[in-house]
Amino acid sequence: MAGSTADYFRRDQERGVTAPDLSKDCGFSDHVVRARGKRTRFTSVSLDKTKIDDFGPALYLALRSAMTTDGHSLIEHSDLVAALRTSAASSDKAERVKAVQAIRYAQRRKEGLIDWRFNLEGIERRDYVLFGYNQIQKYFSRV
Amino acid sequence: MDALFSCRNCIHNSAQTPLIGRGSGFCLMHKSVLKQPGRTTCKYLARKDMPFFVVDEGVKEHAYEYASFSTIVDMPTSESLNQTLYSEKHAWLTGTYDALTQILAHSYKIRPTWVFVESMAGGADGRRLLAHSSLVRRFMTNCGTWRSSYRLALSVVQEVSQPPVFATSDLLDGTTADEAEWDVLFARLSCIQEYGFHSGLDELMWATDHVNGALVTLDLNGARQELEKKSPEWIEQVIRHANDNGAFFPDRPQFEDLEYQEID
Repeated sequence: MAGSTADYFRRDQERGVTAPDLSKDCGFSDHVVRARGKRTRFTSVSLDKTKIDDFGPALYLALRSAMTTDGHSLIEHSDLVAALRTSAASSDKAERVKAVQAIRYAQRRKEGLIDWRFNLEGIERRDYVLFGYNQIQKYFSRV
Repeated sequence: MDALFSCRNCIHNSAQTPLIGRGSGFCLMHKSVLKQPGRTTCKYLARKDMPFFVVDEGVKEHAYEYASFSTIVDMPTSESLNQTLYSEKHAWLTGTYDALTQILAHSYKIRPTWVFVESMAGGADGRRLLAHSSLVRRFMTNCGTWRSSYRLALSVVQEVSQPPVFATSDLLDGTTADEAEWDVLFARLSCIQEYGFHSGLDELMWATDHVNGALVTLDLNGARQELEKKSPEWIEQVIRHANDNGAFFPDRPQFEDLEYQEID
Protein backbone atom coordinates (compact mmCIF):
# COMPACT_ATOMS: atom_id res chain seq x y z
CA MET A 1 0.00 0.00 0.00
CA ALA A 2 2.62 2.50 -1.12
CA GLY A 3 1.98 6.15 -0.46
CA SER A 4 -0.50 5.60 2.38
CA THR A 5 -0.58 8.32 5.00
CA ALA A 6 -3.11 6.73 7.33
CA ASP A 7 -2.56 7.37 11.02
CA TYR A 8 -1.64 4.48 13.30
CA PHE A 9 -2.20 4.48 17.05
CA ARG A 10 -1.41 2.50 20.13
CA ARG A 11 -2.43 2.65 23.77
CA ASP A 12 0.35 2.13 26.25
CA GLN A 13 1.69 3.28 29.59
CA GLU A 14 1.59 6.93 30.70
CA ARG A 15 5.37 7.03 31.04
CA GLY A 16 6.01 5.92 27.48
CA VAL A 17 5.60 3.27 24.82
CA THR A 18 6.67 -0.24 25.85
CA ALA A 19 10.03 -1.24 24.45
CA PRO A 20 10.28 -3.89 21.77
CA ASP A 21 12.59 -6.81 22.47
CA LEU A 22 15.08 -6.26 19.69
CA SER A 23 16.75 -9.58 20.44
CA LYS A 24 13.61 -11.52 19.60
CA ASP A 25 13.56 -12.04 15.87
CA CYS A 26 10.34 -13.65 14.66
CA GLY A 27 7.78 -13.72 11.88
CA PHE A 28 4.58 -11.69 11.70
CA SER A 29 2.38 -14.60 12.82
CA ASP A 30 4.46 -15.24 15.93
CA HIS A 31 4.19 -11.59 16.89
CA VAL A 32 0.47 -11.16 16.24
CA VAL A 33 -0.62 -14.27 18.19
CA ARG A 34 2.07 -13.70 20.86
CA ALA A 35 3.46 -17.17 20.27
CA ARG A 36 6.91 -16.07 21.41
CA GLY A 37 5.82 -13.82 24.25
CA LYS A 38 4.43 -10.35 24.71
CA ARG A 39 7.34 -8.46 23.16
CA THR A 40 9.30 -9.04 19.98
CA ARG A 41 11.31 -6.83 17.65
CA PHE A 42 8.02 -5.48 16.25
CA THR A 43 5.68 -2.92 17.81
CA SER A 44 1.95 -3.27 17.15
CA VAL A 45 -0.06 -0.21 16.09
CA SER A 46 -3.63 0.14 14.85
CA LEU A 47 -5.71 2.18 12.44
CA ASP A 48 -8.32 2.29 15.23
CA LYS A 49 -7.54 4.21 18.43
CA THR A 50 -9.49 1.76 20.55
CA LYS A 51 -8.10 -1.54 19.31
CA ILE A 52 -4.59 -1.87 20.74
CA ASP A 53 -4.35 -1.34 24.47
CA ASP A 54 -2.17 -4.28 25.44
CA PHE A 55 0.15 -2.34 27.70
CA GLY A 56 -1.87 0.59 29.06
CA PRO A 57 -4.49 3.31 28.54
CA ALA A 58 -2.49 6.31 27.27
CA LEU A 59 -3.05 7.04 23.57
CA TYR A 60 -0.08 7.56 21.25
CA LEU A 61 0.14 8.43 17.57
CA ALA A 62 2.92 6.77 15.56
CA LEU A 63 4.97 9.45 13.78
CA ARG A 64 5.32 7.52 10.58
CA SER A 65 7.31 10.03 8.55
CA ALA A 66 9.96 10.35 11.28
CA MET A 67 10.35 6.61 11.63
CA THR A 68 10.51 5.91 7.92
CA THR A 69 12.99 8.76 7.42
CA ASP A 70 15.23 7.07 10.00
CA GLY A 71 15.04 3.74 8.19
CA HIS A 72 12.38 1.95 10.18
CA SER A 73 9.47 0.46 8.39
CA LEU A 74 5.75 0.63 9.01
CA ILE A 75 3.97 -2.44 7.75
CA GLU A 76 0.52 -1.33 6.69
CA HIS A 77 -2.50 -3.23 7.93
CA SER A 78 -3.41 -4.48 4.44
CA ASP A 79 0.18 -5.59 3.79
CA LEU A 80 0.30 -7.38 7.13
CA VAL A 81 -2.92 -9.28 6.39
CA ALA A 82 -1.63 -10.16 2.91
CA ALA A 83 1.63 -11.45 4.40
CA LEU A 84 -0.25 -13.51 6.98
CA ARG A 85 -2.36 -15.04 4.21
CA THR A 86 0.85 -16.03 2.46
CA SER A 87 2.11 -17.57 5.73
CA ALA A 88 -1.14 -19.53 6.00
CA ALA A 89 -0.06 -21.35 2.84
CA SER A 90 3.56 -21.86 3.92
CA SER A 91 5.23 -25.26 4.09
CA ASP A 92 5.61 -25.12 7.87
CA LYS A 93 2.64 -26.65 9.67
CA ALA A 94 3.04 -24.71 12.92
CA GLU A 95 3.39 -21.49 10.95
CA ARG A 96 0.11 -22.20 9.18
CA VAL A 97 -1.71 -22.81 12.48
CA LYS A 98 -0.46 -19.51 13.86
CA ALA A 99 -1.15 -17.60 10.66
CA VAL A 100 -4.85 -18.49 10.44
CA GLN A 101 -5.46 -17.18 13.94
CA ALA A 102 -3.19 -14.18 13.32
CA ILE A 103 -5.28 -13.15 10.30
CA ARG A 104 -8.36 -12.94 12.48
CA TYR A 105 -6.58 -11.03 15.25
CA ALA A 106 -4.90 -8.59 12.85
CA GLN A 107 -8.18 -7.84 11.10
CA ARG A 108 -10.08 -7.37 14.33
CA ARG A 109 -7.41 -5.06 15.72
CA LYS A 110 -6.86 -3.27 12.37
CA GLU A 111 -3.25 -3.94 13.16
CA GLY A 112 -0.10 -2.73 11.49
CA LEU A 113 3.47 -3.31 12.67
CA ILE A 114 6.55 -1.21 13.10
CA ASP A 115 9.67 -3.10 12.13
CA TRP A 116 12.54 -1.41 13.97
CA ARG A 117 15.85 -1.30 12.10
CA PHE A 118 18.27 0.02 14.71
CA ASN A 119 21.99 -0.41 14.35
CA LEU A 120 22.77 -2.57 17.36
CA GLU A 121 26.50 -2.63 16.82
CA GLY A 122 28.31 -2.08 20.09
CA ILE A 123 25.16 -2.62 22.18
CA GLU A 124 25.30 -5.50 24.65
CA ARG A 125 22.48 -7.98 24.08
CA ARG A 126 21.29 -7.57 27.65
CA ASP A 127 20.85 -3.84 26.98
CA TYR A 128 18.69 -4.21 23.87
CA VAL A 129 15.40 -3.60 25.69
CA LEU A 130 16.61 -0.45 27.46
CA PHE A 131 18.23 0.79 24.24
CA GLY A 132 15.02 0.11 22.35
CA TYR A 133 12.91 1.90 24.94
CA ASN A 134 15.07 5.01 24.82
CA GLN A 135 15.20 5.05 21.04
CA ILE A 136 11.56 4.55 20.11
CA GLN A 137 9.91 7.24 22.26
CA LYS A 138 10.67 10.00 19.74
CA TYR A 139 8.60 8.18 17.13
CA PHE A 140 5.38 8.53 19.11
CA SER A 141 3.44 11.56 20.25
CA ARG A 142 0.89 11.58 23.03
CA VAL A 143 -2.61 12.32 21.74
CA MET B 1 -3.22 -5.64 29.26
CA ASP B 2 -2.64 -8.27 26.70
CA ALA B 3 -5.97 -10.10 26.62
CA LEU B 4 -4.33 -13.22 25.20
CA PHE B 5 -2.45 -13.68 28.48
CA SER B 6 -5.40 -12.87 30.74
CA CYS B 7 -7.69 -15.27 32.59
CA ARG B 8 -10.26 -14.71 29.83
CA ASN B 9 -8.08 -16.68 27.44
CA CYS B 10 -7.25 -19.51 29.86
CA ILE B 11 -8.81 -22.98 29.80
CA HIS B 12 -8.95 -22.99 33.62
CA ASN B 13 -11.55 -20.17 33.30
CA SER B 14 -13.56 -22.34 30.97
CA ALA B 15 -16.59 -20.29 29.94
CA GLN B 16 -15.11 -16.94 28.91
CA THR B 17 -12.91 -15.51 26.15
CA PRO B 18 -11.76 -11.94 25.49
CA LEU B 19 -15.10 -11.55 23.64
CA ILE B 20 -17.46 -13.88 25.49
CA GLY B 21 -18.86 -13.90 29.03
CA ARG B 22 -19.60 -10.70 30.90
CA GLY B 23 -18.76 -10.15 34.55
CA SER B 24 -16.93 -12.54 36.81
CA GLY B 25 -15.35 -15.79 35.72
CA PHE B 26 -14.30 -18.78 37.77
CA CYS B 27 -10.84 -20.33 37.88
CA LEU B 28 -10.81 -24.10 38.31
CA MET B 29 -7.07 -24.05 39.05
CA HIS B 30 -7.22 -21.58 41.94
CA LYS B 31 -10.86 -22.38 42.81
CA SER B 32 -11.52 -18.67 42.88
CA VAL B 33 -14.00 -16.21 41.45
CA LEU B 34 -12.29 -13.95 38.91
CA LYS B 35 -13.77 -10.52 39.46
CA GLN B 36 -11.91 -8.87 36.57
CA PRO B 37 -10.85 -11.74 34.33
CA GLY B 38 -9.66 -9.41 31.58
CA ARG B 39 -6.90 -7.97 33.77
CA THR B 40 -5.83 -10.95 35.87
CA THR B 41 -3.52 -13.85 35.12
CA CYS B 42 -1.23 -16.40 36.78
CA LYS B 43 1.73 -18.62 35.99
CA TYR B 44 -0.53 -21.56 35.12
CA LEU B 45 -2.11 -19.81 32.12
CA ALA B 46 -3.05 -22.33 29.41
CA ARG B 47 -4.20 -20.51 26.31
CA LYS B 48 -7.66 -21.24 25.00
CA ASP B 49 -7.29 -19.74 21.52
CA MET B 50 -4.47 -21.94 20.21
CA PRO B 51 -3.08 -25.43 20.78
CA PHE B 52 -0.34 -25.35 23.41
CA PHE B 53 2.32 -26.87 21.18
CA VAL B 54 2.52 -23.81 18.90
CA VAL B 55 2.55 -21.13 21.61
CA ASP B 56 4.64 -22.87 24.25
CA GLU B 57 7.53 -20.38 24.13
CA GLY B 58 5.28 -17.42 24.88
CA VAL B 59 3.40 -19.28 27.60
CA LYS B 60 6.64 -20.37 29.29
CA GLU B 61 7.94 -16.81 29.21
CA HIS B 62 4.67 -15.69 30.81
CA ALA B 63 5.00 -18.38 33.49
CA TYR B 64 8.50 -17.18 34.38
CA GLU B 65 7.24 -13.60 34.58
CA TYR B 66 4.73 -14.61 37.26
CA ALA B 67 6.71 -17.46 38.84
CA SER B 68 7.19 -15.64 42.14
CA PHE B 69 3.43 -15.45 42.73
CA SER B 70 1.49 -18.37 44.16
CA THR B 71 -1.82 -16.63 43.51
CA ILE B 72 -3.83 -14.95 40.80
CA VAL B 73 -2.20 -11.62 39.88
CA ASP B 74 -3.60 -8.27 38.77
CA MET B 75 -1.57 -7.59 35.61
CA PRO B 76 -1.45 -3.75 35.57
CA THR B 77 -0.35 -3.46 39.21
CA SER B 78 1.39 -6.85 39.63
CA GLU B 79 -0.57 -7.18 42.85
CA SER B 80 -1.17 -10.62 44.31
CA LEU B 81 -4.91 -11.31 44.74
CA ASN B 82 -6.50 -13.41 47.45
CA GLN B 83 -8.67 -16.36 46.54
CA THR B 84 -12.35 -15.35 46.36
CA LEU B 85 -14.53 -18.31 47.22
CA TYR B 86 -17.71 -18.72 45.20
CA SER B 87 -20.92 -17.90 47.07
CA GLU B 88 -24.29 -18.70 45.55
CA LYS B 89 -25.92 -16.48 48.16
CA HIS B 90 -23.70 -13.55 47.20
CA ALA B 91 -24.45 -14.15 43.52
CA TRP B 92 -28.19 -13.96 44.11
CA LEU B 93 -27.96 -10.96 46.44
CA THR B 94 -25.85 -9.00 43.96
CA GLY B 95 -27.88 -9.96 40.90
CA THR B 96 -24.87 -11.71 39.38
CA TYR B 97 -26.07 -15.32 39.51
CA ASP B 98 -25.06 -17.26 36.42
CA ALA B 99 -25.99 -20.93 36.09
CA LEU B 100 -22.87 -21.90 34.15
CA THR B 101 -20.49 -20.20 36.58
CA GLN B 102 -22.39 -21.91 39.39
CA ILE B 103 -21.93 -25.41 37.98
CA LEU B 104 -18.26 -24.77 37.22
CA ALA B 105 -17.70 -23.50 40.77
CA HIS B 106 -19.36 -26.62 42.15
CA SER B 107 -17.78 -29.05 39.71
CA TYR B 108 -15.15 -30.20 42.21
CA LYS B 109 -17.95 -32.03 44.01
CA ILE B 110 -18.70 -34.20 40.99
CA ARG B 111 -16.68 -37.41 40.77
CA PRO B 112 -15.33 -38.94 38.66
CA THR B 113 -14.32 -35.79 36.84
CA TRP B 114 -14.93 -37.19 33.36
CA VAL B 115 -18.63 -37.54 34.16
CA PHE B 116 -18.81 -33.81 34.77
CA VAL B 117 -16.80 -33.09 31.60
CA GLU B 118 -19.07 -35.17 29.38
CA SER B 119 -22.17 -33.66 30.97
CA MET B 120 -21.17 -30.36 29.37
CA ALA B 121 -21.40 -31.78 25.83
CA GLY B 122 -24.41 -31.25 23.61
CA GLY B 123 -26.75 -28.35 23.18
CA ALA B 124 -26.15 -25.11 21.37
CA ASP B 125 -25.29 -22.62 24.07
CA GLY B 126 -22.04 -20.96 23.02
CA ARG B 127 -20.61 -20.48 26.51
CA ARG B 128 -21.38 -24.07 27.44
CA LEU B 129 -19.72 -25.38 24.27
CA LEU B 130 -16.70 -23.21 25.01
CA ALA B 131 -16.56 -24.61 28.54
CA HIS B 132 -16.85 -28.16 27.21
CA SER B 133 -13.84 -27.87 24.91
CA SER B 134 -11.80 -26.20 27.69
CA LEU B 135 -12.68 -28.91 30.20
CA VAL B 136 -11.72 -31.66 27.76
CA ARG B 137 -8.35 -29.95 27.28
CA ARG B 138 -7.84 -29.67 31.05
CA PHE B 139 -8.62 -33.37 31.41
CA MET B 140 -6.25 -34.37 28.59
CA THR B 141 -3.45 -32.16 29.86
CA ASN B 142 -3.77 -33.47 33.38
CA CYS B 143 -3.90 -37.12 32.35
CA GLY B 144 -1.16 -36.58 29.76
CA THR B 145 -2.51 -39.36 27.55
CA TRP B 146 -5.11 -39.83 24.86
CA ARG B 147 -6.30 -43.17 26.30
CA SER B 148 -8.52 -41.67 28.98
CA SER B 149 -9.67 -38.84 26.71
CA TYR B 150 -10.67 -40.37 23.39
CA ARG B 151 -14.36 -40.56 24.28
CA LEU B 152 -14.32 -36.93 25.43
CA ALA B 153 -12.48 -35.85 22.28
CA LEU B 154 -14.97 -37.73 20.10
CA SER B 155 -17.81 -35.61 21.41
CA VAL B 156 -15.92 -32.41 20.55
CA VAL B 157 -15.18 -33.71 17.04
CA GLN B 158 -18.81 -34.71 16.54
CA GLU B 159 -20.06 -31.23 17.48
CA VAL B 160 -17.32 -29.13 15.90
CA SER B 161 -19.42 -27.87 12.98
CA GLN B 162 -22.54 -27.09 14.97
CA PRO B 163 -23.04 -23.34 15.28
CA PRO B 164 -23.26 -21.98 18.83
CA VAL B 165 -26.04 -19.70 19.99
CA PHE B 166 -25.36 -16.61 22.07
CA ALA B 167 -27.64 -14.31 24.02
CA THR B 168 -26.73 -10.64 23.69
CA SER B 169 -25.90 -10.69 27.39
CA ASP B 170 -23.25 -13.38 26.74
CA LEU B 171 -21.10 -11.05 24.66
CA LEU B 172 -18.88 -8.17 25.63
CA ASP B 173 -19.89 -4.75 24.31
CA GLY B 174 -19.17 -4.33 20.61
CA THR B 175 -18.81 -8.07 19.96
CA THR B 176 -20.89 -9.65 17.22
CA ALA B 177 -22.23 -13.21 17.36
CA ASP B 178 -20.01 -14.10 14.38
CA GLU B 179 -16.86 -12.91 16.18
CA ALA B 180 -17.88 -14.91 19.23
CA GLU B 181 -18.49 -17.98 17.08
CA TRP B 182 -14.94 -17.74 15.76
CA ASP B 183 -13.69 -17.81 19.36
CA VAL B 184 -15.67 -20.99 20.00
CA LEU B 185 -14.57 -22.54 16.72
CA PHE B 186 -10.88 -21.93 17.38
CA ALA B 187 -11.26 -23.23 20.95
CA ARG B 188 -12.84 -26.43 19.62
CA LEU B 189 -10.22 -26.83 16.89
CA SER B 190 -7.46 -26.28 19.47
CA CYS B 191 -8.99 -29.05 21.57
CA ILE B 192 -8.99 -31.41 18.59
CA GLN B 193 -5.42 -30.39 17.75
CA GLU B 194 -4.25 -31.12 21.28
CA TYR B 195 -5.91 -34.54 21.09
CA GLY B 196 -4.01 -35.02 17.84
CA PHE B 197 -0.81 -34.15 19.69
CA HIS B 198 -1.44 -36.62 22.52
CA SER B 199 -2.58 -39.43 20.23
CA GLY B 200 -0.07 -38.78 17.45
CA LEU B 201 -2.83 -38.42 14.87
CA ASP B 202 -1.24 -36.05 12.39
CA GLU B 203 -4.39 -34.93 10.60
CA LEU B 204 -6.05 -33.95 13.88
CA MET B 205 -2.92 -32.24 15.17
CA TRP B 206 -2.99 -29.98 12.14
CA ALA B 207 -6.80 -29.83 11.86
CA THR B 208 -6.81 -26.17 10.80
CA ASP B 209 -5.16 -27.26 7.54
CA HIS B 210 -8.26 -29.24 6.64
CA VAL B 211 -10.85 -26.47 6.57
CA ASN B 212 -10.09 -25.74 2.92
CA GLY B 213 -9.02 -22.14 3.32
CA ALA B 214 -12.18 -20.97 5.09
CA LEU B 215 -10.12 -19.88 8.10
CA VAL B 216 -7.90 -17.72 5.89
CA THR B 217 -10.82 -15.88 4.31
CA LEU B 218 -12.79 -15.85 7.58
CA ASP B 219 -15.70 -17.56 5.86
CA LEU B 220 -17.78 -18.84 8.75
CA ASN B 221 -20.33 -20.71 6.62
CA GLY B 222 -17.56 -22.27 4.58
CA ALA B 223 -15.76 -23.37 7.74
CA ARG B 224 -18.93 -24.96 9.11
CA GLN B 225 -19.52 -26.83 5.83
CA GLU B 226 -15.94 -28.11 5.65
CA LEU B 227 -16.01 -29.23 9.26
CA GLU B 228 -19.31 -30.99 8.71
CA LYS B 229 -17.56 -33.05 6.03
CA LYS B 230 -14.44 -33.66 8.10
CA SER B 231 -16.17 -34.57 11.35
CA PRO B 232 -17.17 -38.16 10.36
CA GLU B 233 -13.69 -38.76 8.91
CA TRP B 234 -12.01 -37.57 12.10
CA ILE B 235 -14.37 -39.68 14.24
CA GLU B 236 -13.40 -42.72 12.19
CA GLN B 237 -9.70 -41.91 12.64
CA VAL B 238 -10.04 -41.56 16.42
CA ILE B 239 -11.97 -44.82 16.71
CA ARG B 240 -9.60 -46.74 14.42
CA HIS B 241 -6.57 -45.47 16.33
CA ALA B 242 -8.13 -46.33 19.69
CA ASN B 243 -9.13 -49.75 18.37
CA ASP B 244 -5.67 -50.45 16.96
CA ASN B 245 -4.18 -49.66 20.35
CA GLY B 246 -6.65 -51.77 22.30
CA ALA B 247 -8.19 -48.78 24.02
CA PHE B 248 -11.62 -48.58 22.36
CA PHE B 249 -14.03 -49.87 25.00
CA PRO B 250 -11.86 -52.82 26.01
CA ASP B 251 -13.70 -55.82 27.47
CA ARG B 252 -12.02 -55.50 30.85
CA PRO B 253 -12.03 -53.16 32.59
CA GLN B 254 -14.87 -51.06 31.26
CA PHE B 255 -13.94 -47.43 30.86
CA GLU B 256 -17.09 -46.36 32.63
CA ASP B 257 -16.11 -48.36 35.70
CA LEU B 258 -12.72 -46.73 36.09
CA GLU B 259 -11.99 -43.91 38.47
CA TYR B 260 -9.60 -41.75 36.50
CA GLN B 261 -7.13 -39.42 38.04
CA GLU B 262 -8.88 -36.26 39.08
CA ILE B 263 -7.91 -33.11 37.30
CA ASP B 264 -8.46 -30.64 40.09
